[in-house]
Amino acid sequence: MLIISCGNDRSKGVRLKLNLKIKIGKAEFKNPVFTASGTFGYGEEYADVFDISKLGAVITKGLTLKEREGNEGLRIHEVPCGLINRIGLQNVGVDDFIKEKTHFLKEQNAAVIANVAGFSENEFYSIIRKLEGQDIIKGYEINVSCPNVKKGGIEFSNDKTLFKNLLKTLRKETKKILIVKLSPSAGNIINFAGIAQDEGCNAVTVANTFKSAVIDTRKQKIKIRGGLSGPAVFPAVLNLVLEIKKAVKIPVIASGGIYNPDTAIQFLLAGATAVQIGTANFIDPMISISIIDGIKKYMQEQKINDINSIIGKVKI
Amino acid sequence: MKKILSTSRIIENRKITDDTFLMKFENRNPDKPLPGQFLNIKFKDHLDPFLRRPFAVFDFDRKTLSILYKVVGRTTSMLSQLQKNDLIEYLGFLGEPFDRDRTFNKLWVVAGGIGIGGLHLFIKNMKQNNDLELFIGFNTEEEADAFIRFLKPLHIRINAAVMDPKGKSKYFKGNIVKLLKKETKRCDTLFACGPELMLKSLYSDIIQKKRIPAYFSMDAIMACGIGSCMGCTIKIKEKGLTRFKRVCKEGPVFNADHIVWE
Repeated sequence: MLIISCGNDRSKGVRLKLNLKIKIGKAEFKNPVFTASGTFGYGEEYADVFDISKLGAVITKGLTLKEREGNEGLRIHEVPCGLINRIGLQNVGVDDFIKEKTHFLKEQNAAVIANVAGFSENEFYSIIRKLEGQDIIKGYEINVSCPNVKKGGIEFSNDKTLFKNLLKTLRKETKKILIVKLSPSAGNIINFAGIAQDEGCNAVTVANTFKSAVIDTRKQKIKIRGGLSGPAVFPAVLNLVLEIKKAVKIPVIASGGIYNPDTAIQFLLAGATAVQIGTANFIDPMISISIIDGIKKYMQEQKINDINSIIGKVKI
Repeated sequence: MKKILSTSRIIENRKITDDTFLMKFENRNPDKPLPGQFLNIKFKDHLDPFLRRPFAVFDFDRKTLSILYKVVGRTTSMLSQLQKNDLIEYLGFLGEPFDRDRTFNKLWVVAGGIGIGGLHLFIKNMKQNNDLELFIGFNTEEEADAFIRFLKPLHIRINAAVMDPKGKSKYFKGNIVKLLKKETKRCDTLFACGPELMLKSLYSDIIQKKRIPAYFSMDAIMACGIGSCMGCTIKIKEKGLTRFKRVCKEGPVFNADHIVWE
């Protein structure tokens, strides 16, 4: 894709050599900008827009054991500065992902984290077993927080024993990095982050979408119930990152409402080791690249050599 | 075909009827848009409205692109306020086009009012080599008069139906499907764009009954426009199965026989 736009402000003057590399567990990523699961497909749609190897990581659409068609009816609804979705994990299933998508991602030289969405402990386990042999997968993001499926997923975010046992099982199964994507709608997200740390997870993603609803006042009926994302949730997620970072030592990956370099940098300052760009991909398919460039510009302006030196600089 | 993300200056934003506008802006695409393809448009530097909005490419030349839109809500009302030299961002060209490589003996194009926006480029492409007739439905006589004047440069035969004509009208009274029901001739293939209810009854009352091959350009609430968000899916029959297909990626043009009407 070509980008034709007005203005391209690059900082001038003496240029520092920048280090944007970050580490999660033993895995190194070339920069802290990842794309959020469910907003980037399997990378294909964006690969003809930009070079996806430039991203810190591509997190795949949630993979289930079997292919899923997703939810019927209205799936997305715009609200001021946000989007409510109820897609319902439409995905090709893990087998077709391995068969049809991994080769492409390898060709693109993308760093890939597989988002894994099971409906039982056994399903999570089976999906990871199938993916284990795939060199391209650097790690797993365990999706226990999708608000849009009737059962499974999010149940794990509401039950500490289920959650703990699931992570214990998965930790034994893989040496790759294990990240848990937490629900902001769970009872106490900080406790769940603590359990993830205790069970040997390498990071937590804060957070999935917020359970939300809209009523059609003419029909006096629910218009949509689903997960809220977009700039509307950013300050709430930023606060969660600050609180969780205070409570746990493992890396936090921030996901929620980033729409420009400044919001991404706020997350890094609040303690996020990496950030995920989600809904903003729908508005500007080049946004992740703009954010990487914006972070570099900020580092130049602030004379910061190493991105790691600003992570968690602001505390509560 | 390369997709372009462009910030473009508006050249004109002209009123066609009380609530319909034609917006022309700078074309930055090196390729030509194909009939049926669309642009995903947003206001420059706005977070509200938040999502882009899809609009069919109405027409183009080397330097300009145009969309035809009707003011139906807040976003389109805001669009109508934009003036010459204001900026607009577009992403395009998106979606699968109409099949324009075949020739037909008798081609019918059916538009529900503003649905002509999705068919205009197709008509321009096809009118030379095909016996083409346009059937178009409106709510009021004034609307019909204004549109017919506006479409005059196409030099095609236009059959208009008006839902609510005042007194004795020069137009057919009723909806466009009712007008087509009265049509004794038949066509090889029919292409349509319009409100879902119109397309649904067009399918059940005309296409299915007369067994006419037909292609519909479908509308949907969209977010990304490039196939990633899965927000704009509709049910499509495929190899005996019903699958959700993306209007933005596999569509917006679908074989009418494959669409599952609910």
